[in-house]
Amino acid sequence: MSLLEVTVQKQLPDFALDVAFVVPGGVAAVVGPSGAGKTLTLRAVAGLLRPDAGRIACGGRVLYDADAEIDVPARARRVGYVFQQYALFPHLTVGENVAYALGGPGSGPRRDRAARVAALLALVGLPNAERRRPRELSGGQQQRVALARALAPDPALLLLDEPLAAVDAPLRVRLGEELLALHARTGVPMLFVTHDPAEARRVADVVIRLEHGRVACVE
Amino acid sequence: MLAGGVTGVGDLGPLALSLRVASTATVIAALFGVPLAWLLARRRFPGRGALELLVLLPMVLPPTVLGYYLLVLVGRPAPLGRAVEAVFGRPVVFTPAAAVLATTVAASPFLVRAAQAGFEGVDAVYEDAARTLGRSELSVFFSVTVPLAARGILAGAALCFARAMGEFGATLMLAGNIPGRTQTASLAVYDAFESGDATRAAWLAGMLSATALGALALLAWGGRRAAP
Repeated sequence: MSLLEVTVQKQLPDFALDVAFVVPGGVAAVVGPSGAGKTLTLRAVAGLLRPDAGRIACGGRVLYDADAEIDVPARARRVGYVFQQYALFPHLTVGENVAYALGGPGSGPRRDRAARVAALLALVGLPNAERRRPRELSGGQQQRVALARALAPDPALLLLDEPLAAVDAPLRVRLGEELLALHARTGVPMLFVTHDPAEARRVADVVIRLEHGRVACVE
Repeated sequence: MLAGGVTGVGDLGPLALSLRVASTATVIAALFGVPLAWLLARRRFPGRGALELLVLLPMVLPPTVLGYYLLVLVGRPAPLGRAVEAVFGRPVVFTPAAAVLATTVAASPFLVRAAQAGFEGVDAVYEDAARTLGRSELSVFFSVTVPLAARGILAGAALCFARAMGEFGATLMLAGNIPGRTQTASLAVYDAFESGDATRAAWLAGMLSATALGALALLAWGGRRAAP
Protein backbone atom coordinates (compact mmCIF):
# COMPACT_ATOMS: atom_id res chain seq x y z
CA MET A 1 0.00 0.00 0.00
CA SER A 2 1.32 3.45 -0.82
CA LEU A 3 1.64 6.08 1.83
CA LEU A 4 0.02 8.94 -0.02
CA GLU A 5 -2.47 8.93 -2.87
CA VAL A 6 -3.38 12.30 -4.31
CA THR A 7 -5.87 13.21 -7.02
CA VAL A 8 -6.78 16.89 -6.88
CA GLN A 9 -8.60 19.25 -9.20
CA LYS A 10 -8.99 22.86 -8.25
CA GLN A 11 -10.04 25.79 -10.43
CA LEU A 12 -8.79 29.16 -9.21
CA PRO A 13 -9.53 32.51 -10.88
CA ASP A 14 -6.24 32.48 -12.81
CA PHE A 15 -4.92 28.97 -12.35
CA ALA A 16 -6.08 25.37 -12.76
CA LEU A 17 -4.59 22.61 -10.64
CA ASP A 18 -5.10 19.07 -11.91
CA VAL A 19 -2.64 16.63 -10.35
CA ALA A 20 -2.58 12.92 -9.62
CA PHE A 21 0.33 11.05 -8.07
CA VAL A 22 1.24 8.35 -5.58
CA VAL A 23 4.02 8.44 -3.00
CA PRO A 24 5.14 5.00 -1.75
CA GLY A 25 6.73 6.42 1.43
CA GLY A 26 10.11 7.67 2.56
CA VAL A 27 11.08 11.10 1.30
CA ALA A 28 9.44 12.52 -1.81
CA ALA A 29 9.94 15.84 -3.59
CA VAL A 30 7.60 17.99 -5.64
CA VAL A 31 9.63 20.02 -8.13
CA GLY A 32 8.75 22.53 -10.77
CA PRO A 33 9.13 26.20 -11.70
CA SER A 34 7.35 28.84 -9.67
CA GLY A 35 3.66 28.94 -10.47
CA ALA A 36 3.53 25.21 -11.23
CA GLY A 37 1.13 24.53 -8.35
CA LYS A 38 3.58 23.00 -5.87
CA THR A 39 2.42 24.91 -2.82
CA LEU A 40 -1.26 24.55 -3.79
CA THR A 41 -0.77 20.78 -3.93
CA LEU A 42 0.78 20.79 -0.46
CA ARG A 43 -2.04 22.94 0.90
CA ALA A 44 -4.64 20.57 -0.52
CA VAL A 45 -2.95 17.61 1.18
CA ALA A 46 -2.80 19.51 4.49
CA GLY A 47 -6.47 20.49 4.32
CA LEU A 48 -5.76 24.21 3.90
CA LEU A 49 -7.19 24.26 0.36
CA ARG A 50 -10.43 22.51 -0.53
CA PRO A 51 -10.25 20.83 -3.95
CA ASP A 52 -13.20 20.91 -6.35
CA ALA A 53 -12.84 17.21 -7.03
CA GLY A 54 -10.55 14.31 -6.30
CA ARG A 55 -9.40 12.07 -3.50
CA ILE A 56 -6.59 12.25 -0.96
CA ALA A 57 -5.59 9.30 1.22
CA CYS A 58 -2.67 9.03 3.63
CA GLY A 59 -1.61 5.74 5.21
CA GLY A 60 -4.96 4.19 4.32
CA ARG A 61 -6.95 7.06 5.89
CA VAL A 62 -9.17 8.95 3.47
CA LEU A 63 -8.58 12.67 4.11
CA TYR A 64 -10.63 13.97 1.21
CA ASP A 65 -13.03 12.32 -1.18
CA ALA A 66 -15.28 14.57 -3.23
CA ASP A 67 -17.61 11.74 -4.30
CA ALA A 68 -17.99 10.35 -0.77
CA GLU A 69 -18.23 13.93 0.60
CA ILE A 70 -15.35 13.34 2.99
CA ASP A 71 -13.28 16.37 3.95
CA VAL A 72 -11.27 15.85 7.13
CA PRO A 73 -10.41 19.28 8.61
CA ALA A 74 -6.73 20.26 8.75
CA ARG A 75 -6.64 19.88 12.54
CA ALA A 76 -7.58 16.18 12.33
CA ARG A 77 -5.43 15.13 9.35
CA ARG A 78 -2.23 14.42 11.31
CA VAL A 79 -0.32 16.09 8.48
CA GLY A 80 2.49 18.36 9.66
CA TYR A 81 3.36 21.47 7.66
CA VAL A 82 6.58 23.48 7.66
CA PHE A 83 5.72 26.76 5.97
CA GLN A 84 8.14 28.52 3.67
CA GLN A 85 8.43 31.48 6.04
CA TYR A 86 8.20 29.08 9.01
CA ALA A 87 5.18 30.87 10.53
CA LEU A 88 6.48 30.69 14.09
CA PHE A 89 4.02 32.48 16.39
CA PRO A 90 5.70 35.82 17.10
CA HIS A 91 3.84 36.29 20.40
CA LEU A 92 5.19 33.03 21.85
CA THR A 93 8.67 31.89 22.85
CA VAL A 94 10.39 29.03 21.04
CA GLY A 95 9.37 26.62 23.82
CA GLU A 96 5.77 27.87 23.73
CA ASN A 97 5.70 27.47 19.96
CA VAL A 98 6.60 23.79 20.25
CA ALA A 99 4.38 23.24 23.30
CA TYR A 100 1.48 24.80 21.36
CA ALA A 101 1.55 21.77 19.06
CA LEU A 102 1.19 19.43 22.05
CA GLY A 103 -2.32 20.76 22.67
CA GLY A 104 -3.75 23.44 24.92
CA PRO A 105 -3.08 23.74 28.66
CA GLY A 106 -4.51 20.75 30.47
CA SER A 107 -3.28 18.23 27.92
CA GLY A 108 -0.86 16.38 30.15
CA PRO A 109 1.24 17.43 33.15
CA ARG A 110 3.42 20.50 32.69
CA ARG A 111 6.64 18.58 33.44
CA ASP A 112 5.90 15.97 30.74
CA ARG A 113 5.19 18.73 28.22
CA ALA A 114 8.42 20.54 29.12
CA ALA A 115 10.40 17.31 28.73
CA ARG A 116 8.79 16.65 25.36
CA VAL A 117 9.56 20.18 24.16
CA ALA A 118 13.19 19.79 25.29
CA ALA A 119 13.49 16.44 23.48
CA LEU A 120 12.04 17.88 20.26
CA LEU A 121 14.37 20.89 20.33
CA ALA A 122 17.33 18.57 20.94
CA LEU A 123 16.18 16.43 18.02
CA VAL A 124 16.45 19.36 15.61
CA GLY A 125 19.76 20.51 17.06
CA LEU A 126 18.53 23.50 19.08
CA PRO A 127 18.77 22.36 22.70
CA ASN A 128 17.95 24.85 25.46
CA ALA A 129 16.37 27.37 23.09
CA GLU A 130 13.01 27.36 24.92
CA ARG A 131 13.14 30.90 26.25
CA ARG A 132 14.27 32.60 23.07
CA ARG A 133 11.95 34.59 20.84
CA PRO A 134 11.48 33.58 17.18
CA ARG A 135 12.64 37.01 15.97
CA GLU A 136 15.98 36.55 17.76
CA LEU A 137 16.75 33.44 15.67
CA SER A 138 18.39 33.13 12.25
CA GLY A 139 16.34 31.76 9.35
CA GLY A 140 17.95 28.36 9.70
CA GLN A 141 17.23 28.25 13.43
CA GLN A 142 13.63 29.32 12.86
CA GLN A 143 13.27 26.46 10.42
CA ARG A 144 14.52 23.99 13.02
CA VAL A 145 11.94 25.27 15.49
CA ALA A 146 9.26 24.96 12.81
CA LEU A 147 10.38 21.36 12.23
CA ALA A 148 10.26 20.57 15.96
CA ARG A 149 6.80 22.15 16.19
CA ALA A 150 5.49 20.25 13.16
CA LEU A 151 6.83 16.95 14.53
CA ALA A 152 5.40 17.53 18.01
CA PRO A 153 1.87 16.18 17.36
CA ASP A 154 3.41 12.98 15.92
CA PRO A 155 2.25 13.49 12.31
CA ALA A 156 1.69 10.65 9.84
CA LEU A 157 3.25 12.79 7.12
CA LEU A 158 5.35 15.94 7.12
CA LEU A 159 4.99 18.53 4.36
CA LEU A 160 7.75 21.07 3.83
CA ASP A 161 7.38 24.08 1.54
CA GLU A 162 10.77 25.08 0.06
CA PRO A 163 12.68 24.06 3.20
CA LEU A 164 16.04 24.70 1.54
CA ALA A 165 15.26 27.85 -0.41
CA ALA A 166 16.28 30.44 2.16
CA VAL A 167 19.90 29.33 2.59
CA ASP A 168 22.96 29.45 0.32
CA ALA A 169 24.24 26.44 -1.64
CA PRO A 170 26.78 24.84 0.77
CA LEU A 171 24.41 25.10 3.71
CA ARG A 172 21.63 23.76 1.50
CA VAL A 173 23.49 20.50 0.98
CA ARG A 174 24.01 20.14 4.72
CA LEU A 175 20.39 20.97 5.51
CA GLY A 176 19.27 18.38 2.96
CA GLU A 177 21.38 15.78 4.72
CA GLU A 178 20.00 16.86 8.09
CA LEU A 179 16.49 16.47 6.75
CA LEU A 180 17.29 12.92 5.67
CA ALA A 181 18.84 12.20 9.08
CA LEU A 182 15.74 13.58 10.77
CA HIS A 183 13.61 11.32 8.60
CA ALA A 184 15.78 8.34 9.55
CA ARG A 185 15.50 9.13 13.27
CA THR A 186 11.77 9.86 13.38
CA GLY A 187 10.50 7.59 10.62
CA VAL A 188 8.02 10.30 9.60
CA PRO A 189 7.52 10.29 5.81
CA MET A 190 8.25 13.63 4.17
CA LEU A 191 7.01 15.40 1.09
CA PHE A 192 8.92 18.57 0.29
CA VAL A 193 8.67 21.24 -2.36
CA THR A 194 11.63 22.65 -4.22
CA HIS A 195 12.32 24.39 -7.51
CA ASP A 196 15.79 22.79 -7.76
CA PRO A 197 15.68 19.41 -9.62
CA ALA A 198 19.25 18.46 -8.62
CA GLU A 199 18.43 18.98 -4.97
CA ALA A 200 15.24 16.97 -5.35
CA ARG A 201 17.13 14.02 -6.83
CA ARG A 202 19.81 14.24 -4.16
CA VAL A 203 17.42 14.15 -1.21
CA ALA A 204 14.27 12.36 -2.34
CA ASP A 205 13.42 8.75 -3.22
CA VAL A 206 10.59 9.89 -5.48
CA VAL A 207 10.50 13.11 -7.51
CA ILE A 208 7.19 14.43 -8.80
CA ARG A 209 7.62 17.08 -11.45
CA LEU A 210 4.82 19.66 -11.85
CA GLU A 211 4.34 22.02 -14.77
CA HIS A 212 1.42 24.41 -15.28
CA GLY A 213 -0.65 22.71 -12.60
CA ARG A 214 -0.17 19.19 -13.97
CA VAL A 215 2.16 16.29 -13.24
CA ALA A 216 4.77 16.26 -16.02
CA CYS A 217 6.54 13.14 -14.80
CA VAL A 218 7.35 11.01 -11.76
CA GLU A 219 10.91 9.67 -11.33
CA MET B 1 -33.94 70.12 32.00
CA LEU B 2 -30.69 71.99 31.59
CA ALA B 3 -31.22 73.96 34.81
CA GLY B 4 -29.26 71.56 36.96
CA GLY B 5 -28.53 74.24 39.52
CA VAL B 6 -25.24 74.92 41.24
CA THR B 7 -23.80 71.90 42.94
CA GLY B 8 -20.53 71.61 44.82
CA VAL B 9 -17.31 71.63 42.84
CA GLY B 10 -16.36 68.35 44.49
CA ASP B 11 -19.52 66.47 43.44
CA LEU B 12 -18.16 63.30 41.88
CA GLY B 13 -21.59 61.99 40.79
CA PRO B 14 -21.47 62.93 37.09
CA LEU B 15 -17.86 61.78 36.75
CA ALA B 16 -18.59 58.45 38.42
CA LEU B 17 -21.62 58.00 36.16
CA SER B 18 -19.52 58.82 33.09
CA LEU B 19 -16.87 56.28 34.09
CA ARG B 20 -19.56 53.66 34.72
CA VAL B 21 -21.40 54.36 31.47
CA ALA B 22 -18.21 54.52 29.39
CA SER B 23 -16.78 51.30 30.90
CA THR B 24 -20.03 49.40 30.38
CA ALA B 25 -20.33 50.72 26.83
CA THR B 26 -16.72 49.69 26.06
CA VAL B 27 -17.26 46.17 27.43
CA ILE B 28 -20.49 45.76 25.44
CA ALA B 29 -18.79 47.20 22.34
CA ALA B 30 -15.92 44.71 22.76
CA LEU B 31 -18.27 41.75 23.21
CA PHE B 32 -20.04 42.31 19.90
CA GLY B 33 -17.44 44.51 18.18
CA VAL B 34 -14.47 42.12 18.27
CA PRO B 35 -16.31 39.22 16.57
CA LEU B 36 -17.89 41.71 14.16
CA ALA B 37 -14.49 43.17 13.33
CA TRP B 38 -13.13 39.66 12.69
CA LEU B 39 -16.11 38.91 10.44
CA LEU B 40 -15.52 42.07 8.40
CA ALA B 41 -11.77 41.44 8.19
CA ARG B 42 -11.81 37.75 7.38
CA ARG B 43 -15.06 36.72 5.70
CA ARG B 44 -16.63 37.56 2.37
CA PHE B 45 -20.43 37.33 2.43
CA PRO B 46 -23.39 39.02 0.76
CA GLY B 47 -24.23 42.30 2.45
CA ARG B 48 -20.75 42.71 3.88
CA GLY B 49 -20.36 46.16 2.32
CA ALA B 50 -23.71 47.28 3.70
CA LEU B 51 -22.82 45.97 7.16
CA GLU B 52 -19.51 47.83 7.07
CA LEU B 53 -21.34 51.07 6.19
CA LEU B 54 -23.90 50.50 8.94
CA VAL B 55 -21.07 50.01 11.46
CA LEU B 56 -19.45 53.27 10.38
CA LEU B 57 -22.67 55.29 10.24
CA PRO B 58 -22.61 56.42 13.90
CA MET B 59 -19.15 57.89 13.27
CA VAL B 60 -20.38 60.29 10.61
CA LEU B 61 -23.92 61.06 11.77
CA PRO B 62 -24.41 64.05 14.05
CA PRO B 63 -24.80 62.56 17.55
CA THR B 64 -28.16 64.29 18.00
CA VAL B 65 -29.41 62.63 14.83
CA LEU B 66 -28.14 59.31 16.15
CA GLY B 67 -30.04 59.97 19.37
CA TYR B 68 -33.14 60.86 17.37
CA TYR B 69 -32.99 57.53 15.50
CA LEU B 70 -32.53 55.65 18.76
CA LEU B 71 -35.56 57.49 20.17
CA VAL B 72 -37.57 56.46 17.11
CA LEU B 73 -36.38 52.89 17.66
CA VAL B 74 -36.74 52.40 21.42
CA GLY B 75 -38.83 55.43 22.50
CA ARG B 76 -42.06 54.79 24.40
CA PRO B 77 -44.32 54.74 21.31
CA ALA B 78 -42.00 52.45 19.31
CA PRO B 79 -42.73 48.69 19.23
CA LEU B 80 -39.28 47.92 20.67
CA GLY B 81 -39.75 50.55 23.37
CA ARG B 82 -43.17 49.12 24.27
CA ALA B 83 -41.70 45.62 24.44
CA VAL B 84 -38.96 46.75 26.82
CA GLU B 85 -41.54 48.56 28.95
CA ALA B 86 -43.69 45.41 29.07
CA VAL B 87 -40.78 43.24 30.17
CA PHE B 88 -39.06 45.55 32.67
CA GLY B 89 -42.11 47.51 33.77
CA ARG B 90 -40.56 50.86 32.87
CA PRO B 91 -39.41 52.64 29.73
CA VAL B 92 -35.76 52.68 28.72
CA VAL B 93 -35.64 56.35 27.79
CA PHE B 94 -34.30 58.82 30.39
CA THR B 95 -32.57 56.06 32.39
CA PRO B 96 -28.85 55.28 32.92
CA ALA B 97 -29.45 52.24 30.66
CA ALA B 98 -30.46 54.65 27.88
CA ALA B 99 -27.19 56.53 28.43
CA VAL B 100 -25.30 53.25 28.06
CA LEU B 101 -27.25 52.39 24.89
CA ALA B 102 -26.65 55.78 23.28
CA THR B 103 -22.98 55.77 24.29
CA THR B 104 -22.41 52.22 23.03
CA VAL B 105 -23.91 53.00 19.63
CA ALA B 106 -21.97 56.26 19.33
CA ALA B 107 -18.59 54.90 20.50
CA SER B 108 -18.45 51.28 19.29
CA PRO B 109 -17.49 52.12 15.65
CA PHE B 110 -14.12 53.30 16.92
CA LEU B 111 -13.49 49.88 18.47
CA VAL B 112 -14.73 47.96 15.41
CA ARG B 113 -12.62 50.05 13.02
CA ALA B 114 -9.37 49.62 14.94
CA ALA B 115 -10.00 45.94 15.72
CA GLN B 116 -10.81 45.26 12.07
CA ALA B 117 -7.51 46.86 11.03
CA GLY B 118 -5.82 44.73 13.70
CA PHE B 119 -7.34 41.53 12.32
CA GLU B 120 -6.50 42.50 8.74
CA GLY B 121 -2.88 42.85 9.82
CA VAL B 122 -2.69 39.24 11.04
CA ASP B 123 -1.01 37.06 8.40
CA ALA B 124 -3.34 34.12 7.73
CA VAL B 125 -0.33 31.79 7.64
CA TYR B 126 -0.24 31.79 11.46
CA GLU B 127 -3.85 30.63 11.58
CA ASP B 128 -3.10 27.94 8.98
CA ALA B 129 -0.13 26.80 11.06
CA ALA B 130 -2.34 26.51 14.15
CA ARG B 131 -4.88 24.47 12.17
CA THR B 132 -2.24 21.98 11.00
CA LEU B 133 -1.12 21.72 14.64
CA GLY B 134 -4.50 20.30 15.61
CA ARG B 135 -6.38 23.36 16.86
CA SER B 136 -10.09 24.00 16.34
CA GLU B 137 -11.27 27.24 14.75
CA LEU B 138 -12.29 28.64 18.15
CA SER B 139 -8.91 27.73 19.64
CA VAL B 140 -7.10 29.29 16.67
CA PHE B 141 -9.10 32.50 17.17
CA PHE B 142 -8.29 32.88 20.86
CA SER B 143 -4.72 31.54 20.90
CA VAL B 144 -3.40 33.08 17.67
CA THR B 145 -5.71 35.58 15.98
CA VAL B 146 -6.69 37.68 19.02
CA PRO B 147 -3.16 37.91 20.53
CA LEU B 148 -1.72 38.94 17.18
CA ALA B 149 -4.50 41.53 16.70
CA ALA B 150 -4.26 42.66 20.34
CA ARG B 151 -2.65 45.98 19.48
CA GLY B 152 -5.55 46.99 17.23
CA ILE B 153 -8.16 45.69 19.66
CA LEU B 154 -6.61 47.58 22.60
CA ALA B 155 -6.28 50.76 20.54
CA GLY B 156 -9.94 50.39 19.56
CA ALA B 157 -11.01 49.86 23.17
CA ALA B 158 -9.08 52.95 24.31
CA LEU B 159 -10.54 55.12 21.52
CA CYS B 160 -14.02 53.74 22.20
CA PHE B 161 -13.68 54.52 25.91
CA ALA B 162 -12.41 58.04 25.20
CA ARG B 163 -15.28 58.70 22.79
CA ALA B 164 -17.72 57.23 25.31
CA MET B 165 -16.48 59.60 28.04
CA GLY B 166 -17.13 62.52 25.72
CA GLU B 167 -20.54 61.37 24.48
CA PHE B 168 -23.00 64.27 24.61
CA GLY B 169 -25.59 64.55 21.85
CA ALA B 170 -27.00 61.06 21.60
CA THR B 171 -27.05 60.68 25.39
CA LEU B 172 -28.85 63.99 25.80
CA MET B 173 -31.52 62.90 23.29
CA LEU B 174 -32.11 59.41 24.67
CA ALA B 175 -31.26 59.69 28.39
CA GLY B 176 -31.81 63.37 29.05
CA ASN B 177 -29.79 65.42 31.49
CA ILE B 178 -31.20 64.45 34.88
CA PRO B 179 -28.78 65.40 37.69
CA GLY B 180 -27.93 62.41 39.82
CA ARG B 181 -29.48 60.01 37.34
CA THR B 182 -28.45 60.49 33.71
CA GLN B 183 -26.27 63.58 33.90
CA THR B 184 -22.82 62.44 32.77
CA ALA B 185 -19.71 64.58 33.20
CA SER B 186 -19.74 65.96 29.66
CA LEU B 187 -23.38 67.02 30.14
CA ALA B 188 -22.51 68.46 33.54
CA VAL B 189 -19.77 70.64 32.02
CA TYR B 190 -22.33 72.25 29.74
CA ASP B 191 -24.81 72.56 32.59
CA ALA B 192 -22.30 74.15 34.95
CA PHE B 193 -21.16 76.60 32.30
CA GLU B 194 -24.75 77.52 31.34
CA SER B 195 -25.66 78.17 34.96
CA GLY B 196 -22.61 80.39 35.45
CA ASP B 197 -20.69 78.01 37.68
CA ALA B 198 -17.32 78.52 35.92
CA THR B 199 -15.30 76.88 38.70
CA ARG B 200 -17.25 73.65 38.47
CA ALA B 201 -17.14 73.72 34.65
CA ALA B 202 -13.36 74.10 34.78
CA TRP B 203 -13.04 71.34 37.37
CA LEU B 204 -15.13 68.91 35.32
CA ALA B 205 -13.29 69.84 32.12
CA GLY B 206 -10.00 69.16 33.86
CA MET B 207 -11.16 65.77 35.15
CA LEU B 208 -12.47 64.76 31.71
CA SER B 209 -9.22 65.83 30.06
CA ALA B 210 -7.23 63.83 32.62
CA THR B 211 -9.34 60.75 31.89
CA ALA B 212 -8.85 61.16 28.15
CA LEU B 213 -5.08 61.51 28.62
CA GLY B 214 -5.18 58.44 30.87
CA ALA B 215 -6.90 56.47 28.10
CA LEU B 216 -4.20 57.60 25.66
CA ALA B 217 -1.44 56.60 28.07
CA LEU B 218 -3.06 53.19 28.52
CA LEU B 219 -3.22 52.91 24.74
CA ALA B 220 0.49 53.65 24.35
CA TRP B 221 1.40 51.24 27.16
CA GLY B 222 -0.84 48.50 25.80
CA GLY B 223 0.56 49.03 22.30
CA ARG B 224 4.08 48.49 23.55
CA ARG B 225 3.15 45.43 25.61
CA ALA B 226 1.16 43.81 22.80
CA ALA B 227 3.87 44.42 20.21
CA PRO B 228 4.73 40.97 18.89
